[in-house]
Amino acid sequence: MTLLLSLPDETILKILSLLDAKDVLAFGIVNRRCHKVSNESLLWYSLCHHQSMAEPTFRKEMEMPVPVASHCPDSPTFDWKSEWRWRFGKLRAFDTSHGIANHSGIVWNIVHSEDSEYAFSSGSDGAIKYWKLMPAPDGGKDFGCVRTIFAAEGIGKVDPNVVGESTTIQKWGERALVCSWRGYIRILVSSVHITSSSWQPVTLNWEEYRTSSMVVSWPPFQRHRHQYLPFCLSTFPNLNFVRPATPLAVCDCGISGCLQLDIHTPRLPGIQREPYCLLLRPTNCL
Amino acid sequence: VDKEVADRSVLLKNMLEDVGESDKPIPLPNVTGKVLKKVITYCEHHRNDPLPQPDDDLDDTKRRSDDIDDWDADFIKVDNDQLFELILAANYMDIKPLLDLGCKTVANMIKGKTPEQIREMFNIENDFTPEEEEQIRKENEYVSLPLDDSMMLGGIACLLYYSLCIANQSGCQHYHRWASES
Repeated sequence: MTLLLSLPDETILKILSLLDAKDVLAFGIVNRRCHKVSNESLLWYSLCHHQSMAEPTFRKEMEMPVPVASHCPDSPTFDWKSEWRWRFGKLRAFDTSHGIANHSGIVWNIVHSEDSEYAFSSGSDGAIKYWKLMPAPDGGKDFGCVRTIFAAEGIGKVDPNVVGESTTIQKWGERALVCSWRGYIRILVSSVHITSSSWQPVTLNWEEYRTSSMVVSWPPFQRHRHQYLPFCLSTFPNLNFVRPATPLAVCDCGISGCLQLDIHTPRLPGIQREPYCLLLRPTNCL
Repeated sequence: VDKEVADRSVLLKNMLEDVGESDKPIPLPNVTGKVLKKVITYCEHHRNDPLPQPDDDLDDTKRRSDDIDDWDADFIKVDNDQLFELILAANYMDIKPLLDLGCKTVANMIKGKTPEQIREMFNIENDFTPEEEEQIRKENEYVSLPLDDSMMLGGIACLLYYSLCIANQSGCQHYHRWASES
């Protein structure tokens, strides 16, 4: 047995910190101990940070944990290896080379579900993109952009300093769409009856927020309409809530089993008074 | 060994400060004579180098392993066993530049290697079950790793194909409708 594995974990980590992600991943397949050490979150934080400097396409600020499917923003821990995978994994490789799928600006955030094989991304170009997993040329998996949603504005003002106290919702047709909470878009139908006939935002207190029912069915092929949304997607850099061009979308489970994305464009109420809907058929999209 | 050389080791420096002026030998139970001789050679060569600062590791530009000077590169040309003994000794004696040199050398050996090559090079036993190894490989496959040139050409061709497919099918991929119709 070589003396490599007689080194303490800290020293092996020091060696791994000099490698790029590809080599760290290869090292992690060597044996159990190598795998354990190579999964160290601090190492992946360093890789994220280092690669962010070299990849200006993706967000650089590292102080704020980024939510991914298994990590809602309330989670006290954060998996930087997963974060690296979704910043610099297949999605990035596909994104930079595929004109249709590109975000034209910085990608702020990506949420995903490996089990359901979907992802959403949001970017500084004011778009939300819905991605679907597809076979990659090298035998792995890539994300193909199925749909891009642009131009929804007017999410309303939310005070990030009042965490846990209030949020702002927009009325949407017969439904009240809560679109942000503590910096993250959460899509749900409020139990509160909204009487306003205009697009004026109304405030929802914590109790009302807590008792609101989620409308999103997910994975999209389940027809149960009231279940917890397993991820949250932020469209805000640095938790800047007041952003003039904030995409606003709700995912819904249509009775046909399709994923439905409804887009709200309140800036043009005279032209488009009803919510704008896209009906996607994920299984046929690619 | 004179004090200037011994002070390259933080462990020895602290011990000498604690003991004060004394002719008594300082025990180093975790370091063999052969390795200690090599360590002293390193410290004598670097006796006039500036001492490392505590914040050096935080500098992101330090994430490189190809900045080894000629003397160090020649010094560290040893067999694997002695290399790791040197790393262990540098870690124990707290000689950061020597530890960095050892880690960079090992990192350079690992770079670009497959897991099988790493196992063979360092004589590491694979203690995964076939199922576990397959699962980890699958997870890694899911991540975008750099493609070699031939794969890159295939990828570009495939992406062009996908672009054409999406362009041709965009009209029937989705349906626009008003919510009131749903």
